[in-house]
Amino acid sequence: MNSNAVTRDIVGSMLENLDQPASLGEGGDVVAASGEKGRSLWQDAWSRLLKNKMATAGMIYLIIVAVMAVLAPWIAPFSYEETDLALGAVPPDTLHLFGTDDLGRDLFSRILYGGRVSLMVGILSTFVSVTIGVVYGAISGYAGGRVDNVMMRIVEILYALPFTFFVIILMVLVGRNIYVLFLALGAISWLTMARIVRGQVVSLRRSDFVEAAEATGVTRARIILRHIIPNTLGPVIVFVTLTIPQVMLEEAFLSFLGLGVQEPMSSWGTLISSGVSAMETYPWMLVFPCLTLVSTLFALNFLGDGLRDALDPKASKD
Amino acid sequence: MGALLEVKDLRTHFFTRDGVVKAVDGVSFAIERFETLGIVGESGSGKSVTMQSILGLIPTPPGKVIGGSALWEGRLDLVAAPRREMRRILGSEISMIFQDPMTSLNPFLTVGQQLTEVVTAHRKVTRAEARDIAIERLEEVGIPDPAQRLSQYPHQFSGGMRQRVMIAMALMNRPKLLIADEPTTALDVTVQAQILELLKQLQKSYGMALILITHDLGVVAGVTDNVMVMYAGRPVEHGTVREVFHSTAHPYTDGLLRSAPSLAQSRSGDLFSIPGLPPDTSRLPPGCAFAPRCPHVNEQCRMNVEIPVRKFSATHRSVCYQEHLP
Repeated sequence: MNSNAVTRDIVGSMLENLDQPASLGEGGDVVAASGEKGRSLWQDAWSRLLKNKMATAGMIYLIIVAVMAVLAPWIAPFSYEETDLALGAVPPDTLHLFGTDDLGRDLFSRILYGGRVSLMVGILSTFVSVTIGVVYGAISGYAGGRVDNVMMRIVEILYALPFTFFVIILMVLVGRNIYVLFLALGAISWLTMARIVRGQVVSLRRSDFVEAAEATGVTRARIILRHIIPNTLGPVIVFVTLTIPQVMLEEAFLSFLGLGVQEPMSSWGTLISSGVSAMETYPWMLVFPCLTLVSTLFALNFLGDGLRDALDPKASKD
Repeated sequence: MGALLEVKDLRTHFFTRDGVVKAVDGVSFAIERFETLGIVGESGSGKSVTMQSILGLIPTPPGKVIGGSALWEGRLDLVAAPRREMRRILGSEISMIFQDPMTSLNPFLTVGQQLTEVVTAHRKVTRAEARDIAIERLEEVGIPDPAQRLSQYPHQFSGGMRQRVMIAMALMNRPKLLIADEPTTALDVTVQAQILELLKQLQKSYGMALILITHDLGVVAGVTDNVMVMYAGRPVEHGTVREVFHSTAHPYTDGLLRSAPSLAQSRSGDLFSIPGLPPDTSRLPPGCAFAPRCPHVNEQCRMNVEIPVRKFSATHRSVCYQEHLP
């Protein structure tokens, strides 16, 4: 089997496996229904996660934020781009929940729309990073020997480069294209992912059950797909929940520098950026975007911590 | 018809930073249909590596089968066979059971998924058919409620039950040869006896050949027809159980037999053990590898590179200068 095919298989399985959290929900119900039935490790992890109040709260909060962002065009009380110079900056009141900015645009609506961009950056960039990282790491770990050596040295060299700087140059060269931003941010965060996956695969490759599968004549592709990849998913999922906030912060940072999304589109980063310039006169323009971003990042981190404890119960203290 | 499996002069070396470890260095044996062969030796004597070499499961690098052959049914050399061909035979004609049932099952898949995978990897069967075979096998290895158990995960099974699952998995395609690599080492003594009894009984009902790797001579005496004793990557004595146990020819075998505790032994007496440690196979002495630990050693043993093979009967042979031991 050539390496291309392997790559495709891995990507394919990853796409399937990204659905995993969704199917976990059904699993939890099955357990409650009958004790005789098999309880998979996923179901165990899911029930442990639900016991963690902070993680559950974080998850619920994230779902609410995501749903509101997705539904922004329908639930936003005002347009995000139409200015009302006559109105100008109004402090929060019952009509404009979060107030308006200096151009008279409703801040609540702009935050809703900004959430679309920020969350999309988080999810798509992380997806890019997971795709590259898992494929690269799995190949490196499974191939072993010289291939592994070379591939990991490349990762180390890339680690040493100042990536934020590269993204800035790239954005300047290509122009402020939102999709290039997704790609660029994803492309800088796959290194750690590749290392994590590679480490997992190396230890799994020599595990007894992989050897047992080899001894029963199961093909390599099946071994990677059914036996190795699922066993690496725990750390991958945890890392994903920690990569999303990191990428969102990067986007906020780039937008703050004026390299992110373009006006009149907003992201939480651009809103904070314009809030900073109006900080002294219209403080609500800074406070609300900041609160949104920070609370979302907190929620993601709580969920990430909860997932880590749930997926690796041996690592937690209690 | 020739032997089911005939291994000739198999050599597997591991090329490590500290030198070449000659884990298997000239192993020859044959096993007939329906025969049971026990391979005995201390840890590191090359028992498991011999089997891994035959099945193409040696991690390469650092390991490499550098010589010899393993002729399957007189038609296919397993050592030289292409990967595809090996994959066809593994799990269908030859199956293997591993030492530690606790780690040999994938924790993320149900027992049923893992059992049926073995069938679907080799035969065109529907899911329902594969499932039926799995239920049948679980029943045969003595797992109650097999249909229920299929949907459970490995962690819901005890060690003994898992080893039964591993046996069922090995039997899914009715192999002609079953290799059990220390199948009872990781289990309780009471469970060990059950598993051995099960293996013995299945070997008969399936009419398969069985290679039992162990360091426990008691296991060999109870289960197998023939015994091969290995030391430092080479066979030192080979014969029927009766011959090896009652007219022991090699001092190493003698040492192993005397190391086994017995109830007849006086309580005060210390348990016998062979002095010294198994040698590092990357730095073997020139003559007999057992010479430094052997009570009957003489100058020939240390000097001669080739120790002669003595034949005592059609089946019994020993690699030693020594006549039958007193």
